Amino acid sequence: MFGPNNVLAWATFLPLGGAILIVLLTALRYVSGLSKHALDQASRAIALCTSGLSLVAAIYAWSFYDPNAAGMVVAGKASGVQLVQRAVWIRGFNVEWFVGVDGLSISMVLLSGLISFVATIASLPWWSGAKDREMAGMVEDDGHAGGAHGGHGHGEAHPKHFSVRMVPGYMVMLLLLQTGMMGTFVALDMFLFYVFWEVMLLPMYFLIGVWGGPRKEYAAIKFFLYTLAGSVLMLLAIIGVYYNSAGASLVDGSATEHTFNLLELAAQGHAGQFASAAPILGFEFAKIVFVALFIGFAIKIPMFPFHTWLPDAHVEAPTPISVILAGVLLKMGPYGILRFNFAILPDATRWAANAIAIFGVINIVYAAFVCLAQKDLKKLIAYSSVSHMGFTLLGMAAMTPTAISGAVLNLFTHGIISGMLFLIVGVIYDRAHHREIARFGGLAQQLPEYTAIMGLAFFASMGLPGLAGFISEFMVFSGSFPVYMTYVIISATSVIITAAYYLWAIHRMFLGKLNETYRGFPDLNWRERLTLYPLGAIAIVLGFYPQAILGSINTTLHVLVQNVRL
Amino acid sequence: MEHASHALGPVLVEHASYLWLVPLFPLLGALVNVLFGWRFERSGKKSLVHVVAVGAMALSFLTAAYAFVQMLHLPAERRFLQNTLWNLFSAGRVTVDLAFALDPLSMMMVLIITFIGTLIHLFSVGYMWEDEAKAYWRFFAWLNLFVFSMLLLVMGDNFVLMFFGWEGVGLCSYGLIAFYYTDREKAAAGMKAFVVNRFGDFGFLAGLFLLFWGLGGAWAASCHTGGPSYQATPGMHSLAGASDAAASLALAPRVSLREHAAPAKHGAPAGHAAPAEHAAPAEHAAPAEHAAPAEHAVPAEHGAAAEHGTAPGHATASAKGEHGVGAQVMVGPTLNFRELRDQVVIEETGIAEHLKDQRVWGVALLALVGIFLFVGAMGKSAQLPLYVWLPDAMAGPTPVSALIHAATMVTAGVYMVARLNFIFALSPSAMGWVALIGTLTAVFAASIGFFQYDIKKVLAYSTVSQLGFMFIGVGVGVYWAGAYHLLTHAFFKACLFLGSGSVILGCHHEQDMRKMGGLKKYMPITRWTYLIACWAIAGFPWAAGFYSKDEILWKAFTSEHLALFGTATPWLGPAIYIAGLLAATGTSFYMFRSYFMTFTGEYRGGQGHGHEHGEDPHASVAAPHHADPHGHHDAHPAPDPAPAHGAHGHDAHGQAHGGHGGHGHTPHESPWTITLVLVVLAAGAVLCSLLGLPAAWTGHEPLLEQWLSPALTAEVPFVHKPHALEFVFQALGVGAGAIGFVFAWVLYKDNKSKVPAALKEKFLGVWTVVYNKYYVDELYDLVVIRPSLAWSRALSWFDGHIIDWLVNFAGSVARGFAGIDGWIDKHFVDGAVNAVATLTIEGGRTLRRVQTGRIQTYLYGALAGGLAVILLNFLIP
Repeated sequence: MFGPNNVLAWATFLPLGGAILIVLLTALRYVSGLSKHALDQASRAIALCTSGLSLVAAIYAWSFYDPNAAGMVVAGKASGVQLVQRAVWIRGFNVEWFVGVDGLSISMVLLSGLISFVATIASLPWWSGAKDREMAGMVEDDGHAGGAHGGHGHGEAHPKHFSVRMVPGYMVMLLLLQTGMMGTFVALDMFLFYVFWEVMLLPMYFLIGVWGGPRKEYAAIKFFLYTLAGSVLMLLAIIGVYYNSAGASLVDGSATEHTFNLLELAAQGHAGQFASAAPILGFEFAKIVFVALFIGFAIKIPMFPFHTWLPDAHVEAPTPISVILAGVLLKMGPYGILRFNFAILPDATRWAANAIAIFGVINIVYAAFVCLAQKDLKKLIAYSSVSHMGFTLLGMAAMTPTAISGAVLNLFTHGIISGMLFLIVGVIYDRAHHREIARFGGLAQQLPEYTAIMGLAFFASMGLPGLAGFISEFMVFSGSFPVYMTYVIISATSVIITAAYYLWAIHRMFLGKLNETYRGFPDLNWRERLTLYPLGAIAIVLGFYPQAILGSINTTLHVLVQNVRL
Repeated sequence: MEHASHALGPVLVEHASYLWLVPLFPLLGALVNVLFGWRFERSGKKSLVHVVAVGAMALSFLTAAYAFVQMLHLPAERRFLQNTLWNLFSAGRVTVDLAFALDPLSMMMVLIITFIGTLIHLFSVGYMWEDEAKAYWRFFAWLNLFVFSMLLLVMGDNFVLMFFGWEGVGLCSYGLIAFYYTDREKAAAGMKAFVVNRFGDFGFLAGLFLLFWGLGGAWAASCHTGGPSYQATPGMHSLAGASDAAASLALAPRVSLREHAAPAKHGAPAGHAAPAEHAAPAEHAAPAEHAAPAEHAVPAEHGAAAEHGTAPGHATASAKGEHGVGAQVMVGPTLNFRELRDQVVIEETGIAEHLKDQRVWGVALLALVGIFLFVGAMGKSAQLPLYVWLPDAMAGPTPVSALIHAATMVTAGVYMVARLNFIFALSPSAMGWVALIGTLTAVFAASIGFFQYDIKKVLAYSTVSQLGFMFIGVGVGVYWAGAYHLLTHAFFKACLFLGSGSVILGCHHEQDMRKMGGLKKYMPITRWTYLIACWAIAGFPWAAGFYSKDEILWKAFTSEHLALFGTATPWLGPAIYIAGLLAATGTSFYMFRSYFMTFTGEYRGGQGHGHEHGEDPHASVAAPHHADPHGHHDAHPAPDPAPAHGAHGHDAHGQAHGGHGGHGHTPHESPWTITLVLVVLAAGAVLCSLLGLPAAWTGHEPLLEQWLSPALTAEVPFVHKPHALEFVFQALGVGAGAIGFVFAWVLYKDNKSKVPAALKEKFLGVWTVVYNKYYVDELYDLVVIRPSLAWSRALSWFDGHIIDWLVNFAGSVARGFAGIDGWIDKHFVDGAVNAVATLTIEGGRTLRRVQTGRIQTYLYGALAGGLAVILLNFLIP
């Protein structure tokens, strides 16, 4: 089923197929009298299967990918891009269905498949006893025919758990989101990339806005508009780049005047095509386009000062959506910057590098301090994401082989670790229905297993050697040091602040005498174990064998920075 | 005569493929206990927990002992065992292997860790069996994991692996200090330890990066602009490069010795081989870093690459071909200790000179490297001003204090400086600062030790103080003596801590020395071992501490190499000596004070009311005069009078800390697992003296110095003084110990003297300040913690109220515009549309009246129209 020629398409469209299937089933329900319960279960099963298969496809893609292979030849040079699938899509516009992976995207494909699957598992309802269900405010409304989203049958103290509300709709959105994410990482046609980019946006909006917390509407709209604002800039930049590109040819050999082909554009950019383009309003074309693209992507990272949508979105989003948001969506920012800004606009990148590094330092240190002041655990974790994404910015800006590898490895490790962190927040929120750090206390006594896995995730996030976060942090620091000595020293103070805010949170939540309110809370259930343990295992394995990921990303990245630096 | 003048060649590597087993056993032990320990404990097979843990330690020790034997059989210059497992990561210039190495120095450390570690595990069996936390498995899992981390720290072949261990021990220390986590204060002590250590880690990383950068990094010069300008490094070429044929010849004899030593792990040992007829191969330009670790071998400048026209892709192949031809020393940035040592130590590379010349921010690079690395050591090894966590760390169970906070982890900083002796020795300023801070810490901590009542706190400050002595040693450049003091201290301090643990156990979890006394009657073995350890730490020549301390102070006095701020400071050595002697006197005093208070006189555990020392230490800050009527405010409040007797014959201390209130229990000697360990450690504290008998006595170098010399190659000059003077100084050292002893004897023997209380009254101000540890914790709170928290709250406010406000403001503006737009739309745009409609309708309605149906009206209309046309025709030209 999965071959090098189609595996990326499978990985991308399997979730979409699942979504369509669920829609059909839902329609069928009105014809056949399928019970609501059966429909819910069926949509869960379909979502689980398709996103699981998508992960399998991603793993296949990873195993097919050979970091040393020459790959597709672009403009007479080996690009290293593999698993290519191409077809003309919109001839009039020179748009192609063009997917493929290089070292940069293969790690992201893997991450996206993995996090998506974990998030799908995390979207299933409680699996253990009645007590768990009751605590989560989760009451099956099987008996109530047609009560698709009736809020009756339980106390109004807590709104119904997201995993039992409008299940088919939720799963459709989740699967659409997965298709969008995977597509974004494999697309090598600029237009196609933009389409997938926008495809992600809408399901995310609904997932936060419908299944989210108390302030979900505000958060959803903020997320949507903020990202859309970035998208508009991006779209303008894309159009600008397109009309300033030189000719190329489509897959069927027909010559075109301009091109959306990202590899072709990179080759042209490297040759100076855009450095010499006509200025816009007196500004250099490349710089203007660079800034527009960069802001579009920086919002996604999110980079200071465009980061404030993130805490809101995270706080309101249901757990699995937070996991995806932090685990995958944030990665699209740096991915886009490397794929577009660095590859296509090398001169402008050199021009902007110092500024990017400064923003990276601000992200790291500023957000770490903000973390220290947080009262809400999920907000703390959200800001820690901002802080950790700063490492990637710093590493990218330094553009040394070590730093850039560290920066991209950081995307992967942060994806794994932040996924764990948000799952951990979800565990306690499902039980306590709040996330206020100060209101907990002594949980270690009541929830030892949870405490252990929390410790693993927290320490991984604070960069403890032997766990994944350290390697990327260390590589970014050591790689950036020769270029930005002062910045690195300033950023390195974050090792202290990070330890402080995590340990303080542990101290307040888990240590000390058990707060009696939480006596009798059940420890992890199997759904939670299934999501947390694999991620924890990966965090440990990558801590001792990061070469598993580095091996496939190094070559591409080092060629990339070399192209930029020259 | 300092070091036998051995030729400084490259380290000769001996492969030992079993080394990884040494850390593996404790790791497995920890894993087993994490996964199954609680099941063992719950299913009544609790003893399996310690069987696993102690067994793992014993196996680890045996493996280490095997390595030791293997090393003994090797000639001194080949004592370097190495074992590479796999490549951790390699990207660009940074290549890091998961590899272990043992040289004589780390061998010594590994033996200390595994031997004393095994003993302390054994001790813990008796100590923790009935522990109130009911988490036997958790304790042993942490303890095993700690040993694993500590072994990584000392066995790691490179900085990164050392840092793995460095942070790992910090983590385990956190877990063990906060072992009784239900007590928030104890948990806070763990947090404090970790965060303070992170300050040190920051220094460690900064120093490491500076060193790495200083070694090369010319490759970054070609990078984009921005950031500090970087100077391409001269002399960064292969040793045997054509540029220096003489050097290659000089090194030629070593080549054959190193034939087998290439790290075959990655296939190509390319970097080691550089042909004499060919200039530096320019492999660094290759983006193909997966090819070989070779790229950091020769960071040739771009010029060189261009000159020879070597295509980047060919680098590996050519290098491979050249294998075995040229000299072997890799130069350039590296994280590997051996590669670092080789290029710095071997003069022909010119690296040492190159490093000495470099400056950063106007300061000599090496001084900065040394000081930053020493900041790391300050954290781990509890030196001023980062020592504050160690006294609090006594919150952990006593075996933890003995293993982690006395024998092993806290010595990591000393070990690191000794390991990098060749770097520190290049910078007199770095050395000066290390020695100076060590001295200050030694004196400062000793003074706090004077007035503490908690027996573990006394030992904690004494540890801080002794670590200061070690840093004096490695600071003034007598590295072997620093390491020797580390060794002797490991024995006598572990013995003291475990002795105090035995006492605490015997006195039913009482730590206040004022409620002890007379224990020699009840606990003879504990008493004798404690006394022996006191002799050792006080510096009496029949125990080991004397020899290490004496050597350190003597060498400090004769040192002539130290500097501060880049200027030589010949006065520093003698000043350190005097301060050190003072600290030694103080050490002797407070250690014997603790001995006399604990073991002599009458047992006071049963007294209910305050006596001569009976002030509540907690109340003394606010009201030092106030005598606490209960005398044990800090003791456990549960007045349960009936402690159950545990399986091991000592009291079960579940919740039963009874008996302080009026009727005490007689203390009792501890079970054999505890006393046996004490005896072994006390024996070690005496026998270790054989390793360091001074040359002035025996005529040959001390055994340990001979043993360590292959690892401690730095040549630091000392003033040559006659032997006679050395004897005088040794006598002075003994005198210092004796003075301390006499004072303690007079003031505290049998706890009868009223003088201490009188003195305290007289100097109450001083006493209060010292008793409260000079209020350093409060100072930290005021200067560091509060401002940081305030700053973080300010930033958080800024984030929520300024930045996010801007975002929301943008949203509001957009909505405002939308509102205006909507109004315009409604009233103008839509109004116009409606107006059209209205007009049409109204017009129609009006015009409808015209539609009369009468022909006359129409005719009038037509006529009027015609007239109008004619009229218009005239009006408009």
